Amino acid sequence: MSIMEKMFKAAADLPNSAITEWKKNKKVIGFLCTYIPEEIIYAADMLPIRVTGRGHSDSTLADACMSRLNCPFARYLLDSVLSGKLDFLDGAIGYNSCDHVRRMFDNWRLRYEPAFYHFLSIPHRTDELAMNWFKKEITNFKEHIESHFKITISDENLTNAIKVYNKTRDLLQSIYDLRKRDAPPIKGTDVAAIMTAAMSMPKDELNIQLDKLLEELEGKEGYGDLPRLMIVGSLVDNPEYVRIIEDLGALVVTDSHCFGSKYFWNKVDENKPPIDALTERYLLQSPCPRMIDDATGHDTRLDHLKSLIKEYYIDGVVFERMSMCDLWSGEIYMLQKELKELGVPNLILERDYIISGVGQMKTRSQAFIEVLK
Amino acid sequence: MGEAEKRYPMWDTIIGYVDRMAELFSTMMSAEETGEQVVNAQFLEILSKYLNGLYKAEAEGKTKLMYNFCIPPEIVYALDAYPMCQEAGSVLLSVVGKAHLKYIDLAEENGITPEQCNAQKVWIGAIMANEISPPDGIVYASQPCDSTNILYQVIQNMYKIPTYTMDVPYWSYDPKSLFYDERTVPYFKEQVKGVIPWAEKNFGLKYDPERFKEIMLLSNKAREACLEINELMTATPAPLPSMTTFSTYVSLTTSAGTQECVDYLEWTRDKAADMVKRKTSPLQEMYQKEEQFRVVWIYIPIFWDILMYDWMERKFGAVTVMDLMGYNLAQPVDTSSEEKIFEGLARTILDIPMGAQSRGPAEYYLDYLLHIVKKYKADCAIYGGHMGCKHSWGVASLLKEELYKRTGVPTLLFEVDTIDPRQVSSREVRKKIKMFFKEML
Amino acid sequence: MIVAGIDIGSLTGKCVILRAAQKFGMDEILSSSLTHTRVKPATTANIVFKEALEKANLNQGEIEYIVGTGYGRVRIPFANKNISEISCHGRGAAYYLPNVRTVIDVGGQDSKVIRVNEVGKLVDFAMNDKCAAGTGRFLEVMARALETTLDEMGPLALQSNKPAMITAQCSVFAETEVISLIADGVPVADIIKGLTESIASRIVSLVNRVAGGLQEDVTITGGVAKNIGVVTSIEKKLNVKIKKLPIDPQLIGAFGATLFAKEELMKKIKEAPPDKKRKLKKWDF
Repeated sequence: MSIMEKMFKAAADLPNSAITEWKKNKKVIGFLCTYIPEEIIYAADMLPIRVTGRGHSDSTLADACMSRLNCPFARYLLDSVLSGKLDFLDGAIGYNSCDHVRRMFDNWRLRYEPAFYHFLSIPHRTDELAMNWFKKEITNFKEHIESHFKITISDENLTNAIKVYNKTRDLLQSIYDLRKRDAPPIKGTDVAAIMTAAMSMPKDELNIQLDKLLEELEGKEGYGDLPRLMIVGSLVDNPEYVRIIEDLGALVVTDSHCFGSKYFWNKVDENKPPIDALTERYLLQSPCPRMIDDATGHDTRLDHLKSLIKEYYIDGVVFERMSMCDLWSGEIYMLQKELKELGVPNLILERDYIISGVGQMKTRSQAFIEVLK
Repeated sequence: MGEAEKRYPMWDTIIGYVDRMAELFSTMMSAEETGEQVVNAQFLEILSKYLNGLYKAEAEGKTKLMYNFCIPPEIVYALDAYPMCQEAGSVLLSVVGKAHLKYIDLAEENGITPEQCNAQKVWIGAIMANEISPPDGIVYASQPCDSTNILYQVIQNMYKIPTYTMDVPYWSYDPKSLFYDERTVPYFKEQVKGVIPWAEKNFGLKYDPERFKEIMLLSNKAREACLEINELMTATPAPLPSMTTFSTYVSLTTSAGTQECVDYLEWTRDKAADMVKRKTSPLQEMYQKEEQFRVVWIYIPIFWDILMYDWMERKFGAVTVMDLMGYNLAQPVDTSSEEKIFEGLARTILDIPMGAQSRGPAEYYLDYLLHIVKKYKADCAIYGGHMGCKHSWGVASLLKEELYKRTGVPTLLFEVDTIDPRQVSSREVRKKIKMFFKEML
Repeated sequence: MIVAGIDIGSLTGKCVILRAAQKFGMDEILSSSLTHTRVKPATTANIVFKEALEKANLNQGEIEYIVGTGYGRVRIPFANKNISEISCHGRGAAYYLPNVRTVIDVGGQDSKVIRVNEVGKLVDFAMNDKCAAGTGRFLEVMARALETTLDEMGPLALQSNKPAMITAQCSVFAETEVISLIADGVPVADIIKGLTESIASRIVSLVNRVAGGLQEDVTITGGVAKNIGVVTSIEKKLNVKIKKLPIDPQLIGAFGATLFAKEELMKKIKEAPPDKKRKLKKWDF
């Protein structure tokens, strides 16, 4: 199997073969968001897996617990949980990213009772007060894992985990850097598969694969002469979503969503004590619309988007908005106006978690690509 | 200066209604004699003073600070600024008529997603129509929900004015600690204190600790009276009409820290005490009806049909003895030192209605419900689930099931937009409520 | 050069066969056809294509390039290329009205506002395809409820001065509302006028969403363009005179497709230069 074939397979479903292999004698912990410090879990010699409802196509059980007014991403994940699909998990880490997700965790915790459960209370601000709060949260998290699983997570364990994860971040950044070229050697669909796969397997194994892939891509002939798009929104965990757009005659060369570039954006400072370094890296990462202070507020997020548009020579931005998502609805409302003023063509696609309404999505996307031609 | 005073159509619509109703009541006989089932004159006066205060503030060149309803206004009054409660404006407009519909439509036409909560969308539409006064600054806390979080960012983006944000921490559940852990209050207190230097720097406001203490003393009296009212409502029959929680809540949210607020709440409390002493109720005195059902409305009222409470009383003898917004957990504040005051204020914000129930896991909301259902000897619960409210819908089924399992109290749960009457009609809601009560008999 | 354009929509399928002028002369529409959409888009395409061929007295082999458009465009097996109906409507309308900049298309299941530039190229668009409110389907359902026909609805609307207020957002609820208005004895003309006002409002908000807002000239395509009530309401709300198209507005999509087919054919036979290679977009903000 080629590396890309392996990536697509790893990204398609939960559990995948890497997880099943790992589970033979080690533990797997599910988490949801880029703000969770994965290194803590990895340092405990457990596998952190970013869970979503991928590979699952029903939401009936979850709809009865939550409601149609809740985000489908949360519902499909909850349905995966309630239907037993995620029983391989030895624990779940929750966090107050948004209303839908924290209520989803309430339902998970009260109705299905994960074997181990920890909830991180992460601030919406990043000043010193918030940093101290977050540092305590990370410390509590580490101590809870230690006491529950009867292990010790040493500073050395953490330092090693950080090294591995920083290598992953470097490698993923290198793949993204290739896409700045006139003729990027890799399609957005493939990168989406790599990203989801990256969150679904042990990082040291991933790094070996990514190293090999970068070698293969170096001399590869690229895809040129296509409109260059950037996807911005909550998340795209399914590469088929990107394929639908690219098949209409465009190339997705970068993104700003949390299954994309946000995942690896900044590195952990290896010169600081590990807990401090993790606190800083995770709270000051490429910010989510939930963040409300000046350092991570909307203007900062807009600036970040602008620099990506420039660096990747973007022709058009595709906003994907998960239905019922308040945070991204408001954020896209602001961004779309600002991009319009800057003269950057943009398209808003509303979506369900599962890929549906493909006809409508294709019509809008195709027309948008025709605008860019 | 001779300049014509600038008027704001959105604000004037609310003032017009309030002043008209206030005039109507003042021409009737004294407050006690009318019984005032629906709304009482003193509450209307507070509201009128608060709303007209906007024009007074502008004429006097005072700073106007917008804040979200989960922040009590005392701190703004302490800075001698005018507190613009965003949600009070959006929500009151829907209580008094249909003027808010055009703002909702305007906001949606301009790109605000329809599924977002109308509690902010109305004001945003008014901004787009240029029919509401622009604030000079914004203060808001990250509770209770995403809608507040992002739409205040949108308002900040529209105005580009200084904004002070406070992070309300999500708290881990520990039944022994009564809603706090040792970190929450100190963490939040520092943020509350930070409003002062921010306001001084950005608007040249002068913070006067003496005035702050006076305001807090008044606020304490008001909150004490409110707590006493809540205690008195446990009596059978309930000594105050269902609408009371709406008026106590709105008066605290807009005017806590003023003498009028104290007067109104103490007057209401005295009225309630009197009814309890005479073992009677407004239901009996006005409509000669016996109390059949004690209802706990475990969410916010349907604002555009606030008289539904009155209809339930008249038709079914169903008194809404408590709701989410009326049950104030906020205790009077220790005023012995400035530090203590800030700590008390921090607790007030953490305990504010709806904020308290949503800043933690489901147990926060559930424990609160179990507590008030028991305390008020409720026969049933009604949950008019606001369609824009994602955090409550995420656990509504859980709450309904647990409430029934642990107390045997049934909950009527339905979708409605508490601000936009076009989504689910009054007729449909009342039909559901009618069937619910019929089943219970 | 003979080319064809096939537009498979949700309610109807259309075909236009064009003799395209090369260097001299005028383009000439040889034939056109319209049929109601069958379950399978491919079936509809076959039927409507065959009909047009028969009318033009041609066989399939004589058509040198075929462009498909509309919601069923990817399922037209004999099309050489497919292009969105948004581009096709814009292009087709601009051919007949060179000054048109805003093309309103109210189709079977969606409504859109299309912005084209001075050469008829698509520049921006706004769509409402979330629900049936404000579309041909909506009018169909209402016609049934009011026991009238689509053709009669237009003139009936013009008879009313007092449009009934339809407050429901959703077309399903609007139908219920209409039924109760009928029961209340509200005149049918007033109800229809209320419905057309409601459609017109939706169109106006779409116009506000395209880059530049309202720009004249304005025209309207699609089946609902034939409803004089809707057209009049839109004109009043936008305060513009809508320019009429000289051919059946329902055929504009298929006609626009033939123009794209002509372009592709010219490139293919080297009568026109190939597409320029894209340059990297350098932003300076």
